[in-house]
Amino acid sequence: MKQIGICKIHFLSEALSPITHMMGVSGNESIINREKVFYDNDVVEIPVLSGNALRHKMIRQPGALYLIDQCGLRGKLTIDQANYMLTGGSLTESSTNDNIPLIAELQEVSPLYRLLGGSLKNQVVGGSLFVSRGLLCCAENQEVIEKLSGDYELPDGVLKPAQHFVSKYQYTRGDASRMKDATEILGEIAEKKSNLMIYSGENIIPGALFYHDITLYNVSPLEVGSALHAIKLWQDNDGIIGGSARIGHGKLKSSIWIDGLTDWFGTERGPDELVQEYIDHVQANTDAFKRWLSKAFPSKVELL
Amino acid sequence: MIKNWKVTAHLLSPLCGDAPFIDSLLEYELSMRLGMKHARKLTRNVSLSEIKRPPIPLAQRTICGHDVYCCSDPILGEVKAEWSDHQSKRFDTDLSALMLHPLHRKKLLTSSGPYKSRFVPLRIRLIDKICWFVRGDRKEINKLLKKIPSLGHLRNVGYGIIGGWEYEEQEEDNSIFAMHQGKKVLMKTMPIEAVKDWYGFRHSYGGAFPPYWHPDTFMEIAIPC
Repeated sequence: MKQIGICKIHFLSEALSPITHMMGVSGNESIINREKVFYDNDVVEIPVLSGNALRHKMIRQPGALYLIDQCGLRGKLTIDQANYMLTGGSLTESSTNDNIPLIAELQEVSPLYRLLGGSLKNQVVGGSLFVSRGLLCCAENQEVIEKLSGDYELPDGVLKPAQHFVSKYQYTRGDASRMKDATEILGEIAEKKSNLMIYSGENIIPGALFYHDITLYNVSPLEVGSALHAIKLWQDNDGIIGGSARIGHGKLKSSIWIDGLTDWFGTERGPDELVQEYIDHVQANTDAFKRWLSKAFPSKVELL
Repeated sequence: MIKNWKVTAHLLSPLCGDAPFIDSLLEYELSMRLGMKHARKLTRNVSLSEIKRPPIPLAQRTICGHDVYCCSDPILGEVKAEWSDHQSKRFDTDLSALMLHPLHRKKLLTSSGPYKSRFVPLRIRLIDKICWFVRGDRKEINKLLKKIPSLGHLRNVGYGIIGGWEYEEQEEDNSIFAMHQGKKVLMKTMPIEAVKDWYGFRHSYGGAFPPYWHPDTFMEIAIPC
């Protein structure tokens, strides 16, 4: 049985609330993120979830927060350590070098960062996680989704034009001067000009489906476990993507299926076992990870 | 068996940046699989004369004293649309504030320096295929190419996903030059002195051999156009 292989995790994610993953504004209205697609001999613009956002929200953020909690690092990190763990770090030193023992130690103690890669202060460490963009399941994307998903047949009723899934929202931001009893509370200020603000934008309607996938390239079972564990944490926290989560937007409920797992891990280890293996590994290596973090990003503050 | 091939990569997502040279792609993939020294971590500071090159399954020709692989530069399919996207990154100070040690909770400059927020423009092209003319062993080439998931820049966030590879046998070898009305038209980036009487190129300075970005390969070159 091989211990290194390629694994592809497919997602079919249903929007449980309006999705507002935006690309900019037009006048006062926020515009949903779109990309150009060639369909029916024409170029059309179709809503899409960026791979960058999915990678961060699905894997890096939940995975990093779990490690921070397990290692008891809240309130102890330096800016460089937090920058590396939560956003991938920055190359900040002018002279770069390859500190192979440091990379080897990282790969041993943290499958998550072996998967994600990142930038230490003076060297870039490659990762092995390839995240696709989130494609709206619509008529324009049907052909590509079927090819990407290994001929998965989309459910009936989703193959409508993309515009069918785009709607608009509008909210009003309250104004203290228009509150009940405003004159009593605010006095003369309440008489001034109102600041009541209406804001609006496009959104993807609840019930729309997105197809996306992640490919784990040349990975071991522990890395697959770390990815599945992060995905589980993301889903347990409503699978948030995009903006306005504070007012209930951006909830995704994902169904996943995995290619290549049984081919090279054997049938005795399913996703749950792989996640448990990763959790056990983290718990057994908390001190080792903290030692590595102190070595890679030295600080006067002791982590151990 | 060594033959002439047109190798086509069918893409399922837009291409970010430029398409790669196929000899670079094969050298990288083979050196990674063989676990060769500097496979992943070759830097400008390492001289190419110090490292062993992987034996990729492409024919080689010696032209004007230069050994070159028989493979053309990448040829893009029709560009259906072109636009600029952005990649953004910022240090999430609101999420991190309480995670930091009290000694490290200080004002952070995010408009420049190590924690600068990024909003980097990216050149994106909507194309359905990239092809290369090569002379080589199809079976061995396919063994190396078939596991490559995507091409181009920012593959980790979904650009340049490959849907499949296609091989079409060619009668003529168009990998280095193609004959047009009795004249040689350049198909591959080459040292300038090797293409004196050829056509269809512009003069430049850069890498003529893989790894094309390494200063050791820089010289006066002719780029097909």
